Amino acid sequence: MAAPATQQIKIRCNDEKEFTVDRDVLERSVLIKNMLEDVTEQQDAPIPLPNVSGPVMAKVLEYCTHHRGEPLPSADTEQSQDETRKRTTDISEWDQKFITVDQEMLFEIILAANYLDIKSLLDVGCKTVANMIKGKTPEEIRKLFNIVNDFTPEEEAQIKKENEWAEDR
Amino acid sequence: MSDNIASILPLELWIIIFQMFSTADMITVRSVSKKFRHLSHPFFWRSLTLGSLNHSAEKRARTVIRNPDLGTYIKELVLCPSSWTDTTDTTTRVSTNFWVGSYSRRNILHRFGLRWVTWKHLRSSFRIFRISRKSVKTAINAVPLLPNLLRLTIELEFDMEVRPNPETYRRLWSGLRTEQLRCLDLTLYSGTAVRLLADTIRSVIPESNTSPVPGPSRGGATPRNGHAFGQLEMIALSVATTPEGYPRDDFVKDVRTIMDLGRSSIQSLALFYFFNSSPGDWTQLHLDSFFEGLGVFPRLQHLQYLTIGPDNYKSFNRFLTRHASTLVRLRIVGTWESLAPLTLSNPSSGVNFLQFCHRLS
Repeated sequence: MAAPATQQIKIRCNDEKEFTVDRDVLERSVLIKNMLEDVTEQQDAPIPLPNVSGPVMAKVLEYCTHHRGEPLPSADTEQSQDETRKRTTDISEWDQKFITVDQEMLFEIILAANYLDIKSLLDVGCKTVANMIKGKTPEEIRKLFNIVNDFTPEEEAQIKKENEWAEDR
Repeated sequence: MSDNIASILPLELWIIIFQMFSTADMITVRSVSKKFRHLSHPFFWRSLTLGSLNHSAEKRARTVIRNPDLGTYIKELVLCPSSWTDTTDTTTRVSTNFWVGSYSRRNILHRFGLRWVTWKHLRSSFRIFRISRKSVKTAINAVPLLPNLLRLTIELEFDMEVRPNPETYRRLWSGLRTEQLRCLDLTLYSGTAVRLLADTIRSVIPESNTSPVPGPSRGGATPRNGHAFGQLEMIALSVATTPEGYPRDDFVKDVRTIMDLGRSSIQSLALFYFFNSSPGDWTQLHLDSFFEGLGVFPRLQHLQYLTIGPDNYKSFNRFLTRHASTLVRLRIVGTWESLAPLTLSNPSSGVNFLQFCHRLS
């Protein structure tokens, strides 16, 4: 006997790009999961996602498809996950390859994960940014993210003075 | 893409990222831009303890603690001559730290068989704080500048050089924002220090607010500056030696004065080094009723007690029984000889203890 067909859901991104995806893959997103639960009758109209573009959604779906079937964090485990998040920036091998993208895509994925409420993807994105920053000097961080140094010389001197206590001499 | 990546992510996402940073990373990102400095500021300082310093940084730490802007974020103040710990959590630290006396870094290397450790290595997982007399004075004077202080640890008694005098204690208690203090960790090595501290507390707090045992709904003792110890959840007290001419009843009364600070709210009680001396010592001989003198802690859940002496197990059993309805964790450290009266040698006296252990299991 054939297994029952998985329900297919249509979504539409802000650039009108549409995807038809298995429901369990989309339900990695708490936002979409809640939307689907709120709709009692099956609707053919695609779910509009005004904050995500097609290319970014394609990456998000790649992540969700790979991690489909994995347990979603419950409210009980979220707190302990927050604690874990503070302690480690380790990323699994697959996730590491997946998130090896240019900076613009990286930040768009983080924003999409935040909007769609996909906690594990948000963690991967934030850990990647944290790892990019760790061990670098302020000047290297500015250069990496194209950040302008907006401190006055006096303010810089003040910061240096404040941080002196922690320097090894 | 925006010219400035930092402006793409909303603040709450940067906060998530900053939470993954070590103190060293936080110091770096604070220097990147005004936005980063603003964002990282409270998250940096709230986790700072003054124990996270090497001795050459002590002078600069005094600048930090005196700065009202930075002091706002300090939630834990540790004053100790020299300690070696693997955590900044005071509650855990009580059970995990061990003393290195006044060892220098070189001594530590020798003691633990490490070939070479730089301060950078130590900073990542340990804290060593060698405090000078000047810093004790500075820190205690700065206590009123720490409005959000939740945990106070005084471990000065191990070092004769920086042992506080009565006036120092008086300034400390007068300036402390007691109403929000959660944890008070006192390593008072000598009985003299217990007496000194109790005298100071009695002079700052009216006697009527310390002597009775308050009910569960009442707050803790109220000092004359109008602040209450209503939030105090943990007291740790260690005493190893007591002087001659210090009557037993006075010692029990003094310990009780300290414990009364947050009697109605205390959930965790740690007593270390009590009765840990050789047979014939003053404490071994005369403290058979010590736990009777401690009274009742209506919300006591955790009790840590290092070494029960052969002369106090009866009162300890009764103390346990009085708290059997609230206690959820009991930790006793000692030799078999010291624990034997509780279980094997005196089964009739130890029955309450055994029943209690059975209930917890």
